[in-house]
Amino acid sequence: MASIVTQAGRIAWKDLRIELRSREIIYTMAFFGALLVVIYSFAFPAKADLVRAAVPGMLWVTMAFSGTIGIGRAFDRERENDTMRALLLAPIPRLAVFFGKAISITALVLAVSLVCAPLIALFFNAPLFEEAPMLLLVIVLGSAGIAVIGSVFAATLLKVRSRDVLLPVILYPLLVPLFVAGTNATAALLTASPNIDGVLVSDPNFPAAWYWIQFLGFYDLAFLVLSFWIFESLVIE
Amino acid sequence: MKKSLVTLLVVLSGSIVLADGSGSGSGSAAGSGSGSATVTPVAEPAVPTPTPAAAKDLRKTCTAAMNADPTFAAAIVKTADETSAIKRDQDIIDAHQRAAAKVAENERHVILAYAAMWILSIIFVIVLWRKQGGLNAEIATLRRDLEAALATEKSEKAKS
Amino acid sequence: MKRLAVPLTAALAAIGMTVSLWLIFVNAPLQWGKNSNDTLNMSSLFFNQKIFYFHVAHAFMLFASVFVAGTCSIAFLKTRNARWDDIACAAVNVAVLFGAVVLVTGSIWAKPAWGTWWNWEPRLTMSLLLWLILVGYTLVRQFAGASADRVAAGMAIFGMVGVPFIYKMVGSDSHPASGANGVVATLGPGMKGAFWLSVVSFMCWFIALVVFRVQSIRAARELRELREAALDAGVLE
Repeated sequence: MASIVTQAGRIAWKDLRIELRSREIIYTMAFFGALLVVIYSFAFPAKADLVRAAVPGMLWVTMAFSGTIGIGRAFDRERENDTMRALLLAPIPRLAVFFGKAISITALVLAVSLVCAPLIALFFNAPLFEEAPMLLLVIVLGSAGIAVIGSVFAATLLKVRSRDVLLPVILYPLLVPLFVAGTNATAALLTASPNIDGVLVSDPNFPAAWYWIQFLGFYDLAFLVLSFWIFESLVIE
Repeated sequence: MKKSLVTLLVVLSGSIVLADGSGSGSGSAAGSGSGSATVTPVAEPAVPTPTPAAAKDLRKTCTAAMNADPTFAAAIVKTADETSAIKRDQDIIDAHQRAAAKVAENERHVILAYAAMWILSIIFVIVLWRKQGGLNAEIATLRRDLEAALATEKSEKAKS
Repeated sequence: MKRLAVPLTAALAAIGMTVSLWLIFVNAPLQWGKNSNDTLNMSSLFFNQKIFYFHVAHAFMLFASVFVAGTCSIAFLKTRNARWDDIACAAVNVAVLFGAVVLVTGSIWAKPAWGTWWNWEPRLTMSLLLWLILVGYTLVRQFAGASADRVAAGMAIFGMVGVPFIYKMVGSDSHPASGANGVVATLGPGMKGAFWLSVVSFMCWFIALVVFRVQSIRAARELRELREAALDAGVLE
């Protein structure tokens, strides 16, 4: 078990080192996410309360879109030189391969959300930092869920010609509960109510946020275990 | 139910008749009272004293007249019965009409739903059926061609 | 026996549907609601309640097929026997039809009952999400090339595991409830028989369609093999 974790860590570190050298995925994903945020500012009516209500949705749509792009690209890298085959043939458990991939992709999605969240906070004057630790927990759990399910299917779709369209077709219906839970948790943390002077001050709804955080945790755990079980039989032809 | 309605109506019509009787009684009392009213307008309450007696008499006469007629009670019951039956029928008709209106209003949706269901199913079955037919036909021709090809191959081999 | 499976189940379904139609429209009473003072009133359902019998029967089959597809896909991945995959694929194909019926009749019901063709009412949302997963599955099957069966099997399994999360996500609602104190349990005496008969006959219908579809899929596979043989023999160019 311990060896699986260290091996997974090595694979994750390998991926992240490649990424840190080229910075291709992180730059393009982050730029794409930033563009999305800019587009939102034109797409939504510029009314303070409306925009405030839409902020959680913006954050999670950005994560969904840039996440799928990042996952697709990360696995393309393994396909280009057919290194995925080498990875699968390597004398390590295939679980370690999957786990390592999931970790590196979690890091990528997380990095992008950590770029986009401040941008959303900046452009839409959203109090995203008031409950920063809780919000970070929500985003980490969400990124992990996207990365786990995304890695399983991106790895299986590796040889498929239309993988770029099929990945979102598969991922989004399966990830809807995650997006809803993430949006609800974020919205609960961003809840604001007027104080005596009628000024909106943040008034987080902690029980609701906690409920959705638990939901996210169980969701991630269930799909992580499921992926451990079936990753191998899915990627082997 | 029917019986109690009838009794109710009898009592009702009886009390109407009685009220009419007392009404005419008080009317006559007012007439007799107006004469004494010229003397003391304040003494009005005292005036109707003769009326109960008059009303009583009238009622007595009335009851006697009613009792004298043997068909009267039966006639009252009959009339009451008929009116209540009409009213009951009307209630039932109203309820049914309301229900029918609601059904008619709902009907559109029910027909739409069932039509949608059947149309979707039928389209699905037709598509499946045609697909299956095409497949079977293609399999049959391919198999025939294949067998023919194998047969010719065999015969050629045998020749050479 | 195999030849008889489709005609037999289809005939059973046809008889069942005819009888349940008679039961629904002639025998079953109209749905009366109760006012707060316990007098009868025409509830919002009333004659529309007649949609319920077939709508719910279809929904049962939609949910059942998600589990059928999921378990068959697990069996397929474990045994690599394509027969399981055929059943999963057929169940999903037929469930796409049943889901379409559920959504269409559901929204026709929603119009008089709630005043809109679509409100994001939990059970309707849940049916939509499951339906989207199944549609995604059929798309993957069509366009994922050689690894279509594996990817689709993975999607079916993930979809099955996601059902409890979707259920939890949508929460409780205005829809006629299910369960011990739900609509089915409170159906009047004339309604219960009609309801269960229609459920059973639509189950027969579902089975007939699935078996038919399985045969069709097997025929397609046979055709592929024949084509290969024909190419080898030089019959086909």
